[in-house]
Amino acid sequence: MLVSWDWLNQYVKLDMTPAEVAERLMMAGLNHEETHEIGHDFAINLEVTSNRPDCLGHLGIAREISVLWNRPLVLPPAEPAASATPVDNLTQVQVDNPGQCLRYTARVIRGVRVGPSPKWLVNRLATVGIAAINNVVDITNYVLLECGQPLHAFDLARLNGRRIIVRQARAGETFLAINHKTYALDETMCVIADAQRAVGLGGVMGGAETEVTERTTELLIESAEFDPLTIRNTARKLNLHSDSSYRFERGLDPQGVDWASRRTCQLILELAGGELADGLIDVGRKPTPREPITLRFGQLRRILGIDVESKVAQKILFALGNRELRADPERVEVMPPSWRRDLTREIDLVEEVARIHGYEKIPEDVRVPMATSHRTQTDRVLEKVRQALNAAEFDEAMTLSVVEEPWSDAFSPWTDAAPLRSSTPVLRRADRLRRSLVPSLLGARQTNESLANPVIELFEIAHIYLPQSGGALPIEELTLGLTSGGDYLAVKGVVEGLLSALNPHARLEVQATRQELFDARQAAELRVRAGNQPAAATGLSRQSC
Amino acid sequence: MSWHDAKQGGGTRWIEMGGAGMVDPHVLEAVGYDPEEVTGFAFGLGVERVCARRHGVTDIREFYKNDVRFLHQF
Repeated sequence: MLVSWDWLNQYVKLDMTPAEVAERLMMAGLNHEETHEIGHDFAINLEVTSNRPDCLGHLGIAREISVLWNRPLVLPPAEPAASATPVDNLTQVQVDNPGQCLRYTARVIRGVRVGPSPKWLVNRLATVGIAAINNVVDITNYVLLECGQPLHAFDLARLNGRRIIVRQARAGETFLAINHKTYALDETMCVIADAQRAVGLGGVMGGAETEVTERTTELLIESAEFDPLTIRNTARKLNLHSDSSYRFERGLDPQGVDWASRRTCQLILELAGGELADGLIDVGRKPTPREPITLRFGQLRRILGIDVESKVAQKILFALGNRELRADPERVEVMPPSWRRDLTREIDLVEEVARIHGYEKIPEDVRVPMATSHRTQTDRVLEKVRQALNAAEFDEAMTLSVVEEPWSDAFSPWTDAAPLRSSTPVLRRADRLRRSLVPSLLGARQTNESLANPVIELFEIAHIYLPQSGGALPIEELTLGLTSGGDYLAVKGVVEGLLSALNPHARLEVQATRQELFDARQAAELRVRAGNQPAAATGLSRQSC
Repeated sequence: MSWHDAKQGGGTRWIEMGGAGMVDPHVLEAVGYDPEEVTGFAFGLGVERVCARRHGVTDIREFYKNDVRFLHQF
């Protein structure tokens, strides 16, 4: 999230340096990426974690600063004056897919003069990398970056039937977006349509055919709430990610929908003139009430290990927007703010107190009662395996657990069951969980051959995945694989050496084996006499030898 | 966890070496601890990052390339 220093300054007094603010925000959970000077402003890039969509707007960041520095937060006005004409006389909204579009609100402004935005607005948008288009479009972008709620302005006169129908897209329906690219839609997507066609891809992007131009005089201002999963799937399918989809995917402040609409109208009336129709068209669910949360002050000491005075803890929670419901010397019960959906449990409140009070207040030199863990049997055996193989001049390789289909099919001595597949390939076409380490090791060998390395002796210790029938989880067997430039006897010698390092009394039995990958005259299955399971299959690859 | 680096450009900066944090009470509960009695700390050390710092490796992908000339140095 890019924030403008000048812009933040409107909501909270900043007499510290950008570096000081970035440092303090980082210590409170907003990682600082970098700061650039742009004109007379600074662009500060902050990494906002997905549980904090409230910080995807300047107001959210300003709120954090106001709490951390104990300063007042000044909210901008959002009380536009309306005319006598009721909005219901000017347009209608119908939502056919309430599962995808949870709530849709509309306001109408008539008689606007579309033109360039004032310099302060253009500059602020430029700092955060947004090009100015015209005053109305700029204002919708501005309010999105102010409070995090995406908005869209339609040219009302260009909406057929002067109305909005929110519905599922139809199979084969196409849509011309404001980026002037055409997209093929399907039924899983949510469109904003007029009486005839799709004019917006809900929560993702507006349409070119109803965009606001210099000739526009009547506006319909959309402020809505969409289902995060629908938006995420649509943006991914079309590879069309926008500031809007990014925010809807993360879930927004349900109370912010109406506020953002009023704020947009306020700015439009100020900067583009016009007359706001009275009232709000509001279709869909209303914000559901939140559950109160109780913080027992004793938990602060128990979990954080330091004493935080109950007065201090309460002050932090209230400053963050939690409303006090009841309090006594032992506990406080609060209603979390609508924009903080991540606060649902007592532990969340403990975390809020800790990060605002300051993690640096937790001393570093306190003894923590801890029991050291001991190495497991597996750890001890594997260390011996590594020692033995290193002594035989082998290096340890690490390869991916998933492989491409031809590699997966090339060698599978432990099972004939089809490999498990991941729905998204990890790398290029690699989507099969491996049933043997051998193909991956041959791949590592190939890499080394292409680098003209003369001696290539590699081993790997990793899990393989042997599928089970009936939907059970696979058997994850820890296995050792080797690839060597030596012949059959040399490799057999390495395996024997390894075995005697692990257990001097164990003996290998040699049996014939048939593996497509191996040269039959140079391949064998080695078994440890004690058990029935084959311990290893060794052989020379036909292709590489 | 972080690493305070005095070498970079004369100044100091942080390098992420691994994530760490307190264990969520739900997780404690799921593995049979009473979160009212027990708290936990988890450290997810980035082994390659520590190793890269220790040996002056500038590209972390080297660890996964399996080039024997690289591996044989250790």
